[in-house]
Order: sequence, then structure tokens, then C-alpha cells
Amino acid sequence: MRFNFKKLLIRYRSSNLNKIIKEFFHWFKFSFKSIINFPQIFRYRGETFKQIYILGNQALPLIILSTIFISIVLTLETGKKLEPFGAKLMLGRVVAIAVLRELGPVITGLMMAGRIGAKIVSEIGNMVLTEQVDALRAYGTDPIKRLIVPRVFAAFAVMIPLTIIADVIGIIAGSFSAITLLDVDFDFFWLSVKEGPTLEDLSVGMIKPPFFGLLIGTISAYLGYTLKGGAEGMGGLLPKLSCLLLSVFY
Amino acid sequence: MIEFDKVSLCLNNRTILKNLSFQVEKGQTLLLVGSSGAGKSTILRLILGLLKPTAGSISIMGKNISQMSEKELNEMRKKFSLVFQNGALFDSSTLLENVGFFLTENEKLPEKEVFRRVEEIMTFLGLENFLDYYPSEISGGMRKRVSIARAIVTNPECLLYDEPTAGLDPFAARKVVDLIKSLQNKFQVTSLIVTHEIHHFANVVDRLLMLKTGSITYDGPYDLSILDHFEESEAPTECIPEEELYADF
Repeated sequence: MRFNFKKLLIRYRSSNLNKIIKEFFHWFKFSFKSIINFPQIFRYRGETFKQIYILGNQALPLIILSTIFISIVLTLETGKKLEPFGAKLMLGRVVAIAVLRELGPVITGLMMAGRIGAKIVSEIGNMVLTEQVDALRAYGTDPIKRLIVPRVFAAFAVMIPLTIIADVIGIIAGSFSAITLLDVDFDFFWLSVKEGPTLEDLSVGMIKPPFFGLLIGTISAYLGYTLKGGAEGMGGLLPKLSCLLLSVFY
Repeated sequence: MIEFDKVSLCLNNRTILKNLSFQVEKGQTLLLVGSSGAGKSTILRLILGLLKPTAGSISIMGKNISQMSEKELNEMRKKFSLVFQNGALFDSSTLLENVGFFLTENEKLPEKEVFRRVEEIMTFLGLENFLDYYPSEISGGMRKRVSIARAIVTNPECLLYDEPTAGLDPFAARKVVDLIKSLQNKFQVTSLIVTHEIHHFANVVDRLLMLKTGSITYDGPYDLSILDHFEESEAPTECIPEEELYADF
């Protein structure tokens, strides 16, 4: 059989793979433009602070609640498994490392993706549908600088403070669970917490959140900005956003 | 001022415009008519560079906009103003912020000066008591007038109207047409009005252009008899664009 390059090229151009690759490059270009325009936050500082305040405030209750419950369950289950080996006193160390390295950043990221991603995608998508984005462009204002940059930057900037809050709340909830449900001594638990995590654990946990924030901001803003298909298209955006962000996190 | 030279446009594998050529002189008021889907609003978007033609060239003030960067296009767009069909007002801002937005944004005027100019325009349009209202709190006719206020507050060289009377009752439509006429008398700007409600604009326009399935079928003075040829557009023919068009980032 002869290899037909032209035929292969035609098949590739109409394939889903080609569409996915094209979409990925468009998202990459969009994200790149948003990130290199971060200095615009000084020009639109009012809008940027407003977005930081809104995004932080909206995600905070969700993050606190989920961190509390996940930490309580984590401590309880780990404590029960450590008990037969007489290692219950290591519980503080295990909880602190798990929360600082993984749980804090990931729970913050997931909650941000659900709450903030949905907010950004519906807000920008609605502006596209009602031609407000076109109006900005028609009058010579770059919508990326005016609308997208403050939101993406806000998603990026709130991640570290929210992760710190999630870490602190997670360890406190863990201590509460260990002390009241597993009869671990208060001083032993906190001594174990103090001696457990290293600077490396802390930095591993703090490097991830800003990247999660950037991904949440750029993916949701991109989906909203390139919305097609009116209200129906808008309805299809949120499941698409959840799938994309969840697959990125995992 | 505006020159279309053999402009064609394919969007989503459909031919929207076919070899379209026309010119608009400075100070002229042109009425662009045609049935729904004839490509009228698309022409306005092409003029502002919001869409790029698949073939042909568009020159604005002697410069080919197809070769302009997004930065150059933004500078060119500041000389134009588009009145959107549905107003396209920023729904989270008051009317004052909506009308003054581009004065703050592009001209970077101080707050006091912005307020003075917005108040002056809104008084001219009879909307001075609604400055603190949000777009959702006013009627469709008022939204259209606010949209016109936003368009003229920047003193543009060319005004583009997309269906300025669509969806309005006869009284509100009359008000908007009178407003367009008084704006022309006052500022003598070049105007391009896209509509399918031709009868409203009898005393307003210098020239009429009729579109049918992406091509010009009439170019001349205002003449109501062209309504005899005013039929529904045929289904657009299929075409395969060179490259799929995406929003420019």
C-alpha cells in the first residue's frame, strides 16, 4: 500500500485531534497575552482590587468548610490506622505534612475552580453574548487588558493567601479531631506538628497554588471569551469548564 | 473615507459577502438596507476591523485595515463610534459610567470634565435625570438613546448605526430618527445606517445601498420603489474558508 501524505493531511485537518490541538494553541496564545499584560493591573487597579476582593470573598467560605471536613476525616482515619502500631503520636506530623503539601493547595484549587471559574466564565460569556466585549473593541479598548487581565491576575493573586488560610484551618481542624475523637494529648499533637513539616514541604505546597490560579483564570476566561452558540452555548460551558479544570488538577 | 474593494467574507463555511465594492465619502449619510441575513451588520464589523475579510481590501481614510495590527486598529477605531442593535451597554455600570467610559478610558479626562460632557450630551438627549440608573432600569428606547449618547460623546469622525430603530415603538423610533438627523445637522459626521426599516429614514440619507445575499443590488438615491425587490435573502452558499476565523487576541 502506498503512503498517501495528502490524504492523511486532509483526514487530519478534519479530525477532532486537529480541533483539540488548535483550541489548545488558541488558549495558549490567549493566556500568554493575558500574562504579559499583567502590568495593566496598575492602570486598572480599581477593577483588579474589586476582582481580588470578590474572588477571595466568594471562595473563602467554601474553602474553610471543605478543609475543615476533609481534615477531620483525614485525621480520624489516619489516627485509627496508626493506633495499632502505637504511632498515634505521629498524627500531628502526618496531618500537617499532608495538609501543607497536598490537601491545602488542592482543596483551595478545586473550590476556586468551581466557584470562581464558574463566575468568570459566566460573566465574560454573558458580556460576549450581549456584545459588551464587541463594544469595548469597537471603541478601541482591548478587552483582554480591560476585562481578562484583572480577573486572571485576581485568580492568581488570591491563591496563596487562600491556601495559607486552608492550611491553618486544616491543621486546626485536624487537631480538634485528634484531641476530641482520638484522645491525643493537645501538647503532643502540636509538638508533632511543629517538628514534622520541613521547609521543603511548605515550599512544595506554596509553589502550586499560583499555577492553579493561573490555570483557573485563563481557562475559564478563555471559555467565556470564545463563547459561541448563544444561551445554549453558555449552558454547555460549565460542564466543559469542570471537566477541563478537574482533568488539569488530577 | 471608507472604501470596500471586492470584499468577500466566509464565516462558518458560509458565504456572507461576495465581491462587495463601494465607497462612502466624508460627510455622507449612507443607508444600507437588506433583509435579515443579507450581511448588513457584518459590514459594520468589517469597517471596524472586528472581522477580517476572506478576500479583498477595506480602506479607511486611505489606509488598508487588513494590514493593520490590533494596536493600529484600536487607534483607528477611536475615530469611529458604533451604535449597537441591542445597545451593548455595560450592565454593571450606571448610565453616567456607560456614557463616560470611553472618555475616562481613551481620553483619560478628569472625573469633573467627564461628568460635564456626559451631562451635556444626556441633556441634549433628554436623559439628564437618569444618570444614576442602570441599563436594566430603563426602557428599550432610552437604552438606544444612551447608546447613541455613548457614541457621540467622543466626537467621532464617523458614526455607524446598527438597526437604530429595531424593536422600538413608532414614537420611540421617530425620536431616534429625529435624533440622528439633528446630530448630522449639528456635527456633520459621516454616517452609515444599517436597517431594514427603510421608511423611517426618508429625509435623513444622501444615498441608499441595497444588499441581497452578500452583493449590492441597488446603489443610488433614496427610492421607496426598491421595496418591490426587497425579498427574503436566499440561503447562503457554502464556502470553505482558507482558515477558520477566531476572535483576535
